[in-house]
Amino acid sequence: MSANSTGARVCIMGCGRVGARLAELFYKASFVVTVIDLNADSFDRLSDAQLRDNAILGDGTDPAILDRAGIRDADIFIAVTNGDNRNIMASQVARTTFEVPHVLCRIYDVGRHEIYKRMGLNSFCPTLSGADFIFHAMVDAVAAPLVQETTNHG
Amino acid sequence: MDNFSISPPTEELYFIIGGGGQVGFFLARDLFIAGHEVVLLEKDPRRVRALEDELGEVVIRGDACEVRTLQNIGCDRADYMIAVTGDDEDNLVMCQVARVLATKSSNFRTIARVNNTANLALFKKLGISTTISLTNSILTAIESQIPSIESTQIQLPTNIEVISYVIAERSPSVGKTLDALSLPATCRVIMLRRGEQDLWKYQRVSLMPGDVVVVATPPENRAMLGDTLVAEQVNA
Repeated sequence: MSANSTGARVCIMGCGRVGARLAELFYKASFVVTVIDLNADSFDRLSDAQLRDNAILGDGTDPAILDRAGIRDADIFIAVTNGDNRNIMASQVARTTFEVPHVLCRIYDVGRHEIYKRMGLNSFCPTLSGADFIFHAMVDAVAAPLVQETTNHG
Repeated sequence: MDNFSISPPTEELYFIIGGGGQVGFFLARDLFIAGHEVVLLEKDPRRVRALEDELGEVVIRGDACEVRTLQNIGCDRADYMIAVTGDDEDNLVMCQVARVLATKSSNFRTIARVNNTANLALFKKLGISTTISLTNSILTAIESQIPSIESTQIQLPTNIEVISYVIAERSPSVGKTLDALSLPATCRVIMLRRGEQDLWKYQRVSLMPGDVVVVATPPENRAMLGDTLVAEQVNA
């Protein structure tokens, strides 16, 4: 049993791989965690019984479901369903209707990510970050022997 | 001169319609016949083929939420984005994205179909020019024909309702003045009714069981007001 020292509340919409992983990270860091998902089976990804008990089955773009998930007291709202538009809408409900102080929205589509970032939504784009990571890792891998060669002969 | 030519509209506008369902189809057809420039975007290729038989080049296969799709059809000079898919989140996003892209039109407007009535206020707040809700229209039609059963609760157009709370025998509020109770900040007590008497200066009156407190409040305060004014204390 972890002592709840922070008391901070986080609401996660979408219990896929990322959502479930986030739920466990926050839970271990003593946050009060509520996960929302449309599909009850997805809660099997949650290894902790308390997380499963707290989980809410429903559509996170619906204010009534968010309310049931305790969004009024939430310090953090994270939208990580597979639908960009669902994440975008739920994040705006969290920000505008419920005035959650910290909102993060995952948007796969680069175009939409850039537009909503411009509009002030805190958006994270795995496509950009992932491609960027792979590109730099590979460029560095190719460059490394070259650097070594230059040093050897230099 | 062609005898069958349609008289041009006073102002030719460019409409983008997102969602090729029944509403999108009839809308695209009527606006096109009226002489406007229309593009109907539909994602499903099978539905696109069916629509093409009727509408020809007006139909384009594509996702109206995608920036590149909208750029390709010249969204920058669009006058209207009309979002009529069955999903509220898609309708919201295509209107918001189109608004950012429609930089050339001086009076760009967005119209969104809203399926969940709970989203109506949100869409307005997020800058959608016009919201259309079939659900809400039907509900309004029903309400106008059936008189309200609960006479104590009046729904006002501003989302503020007037509720009467009857102070219960063992309510925690008994013996306290309304000023002393910590009621939500976003509500106003209108009056206090004791027996046949209407008390408009109620501030210093100690509450008694059976008193009726009339409050104007947004619906979200209902539970808290109920708890403070009505709820019976279990361990009294």
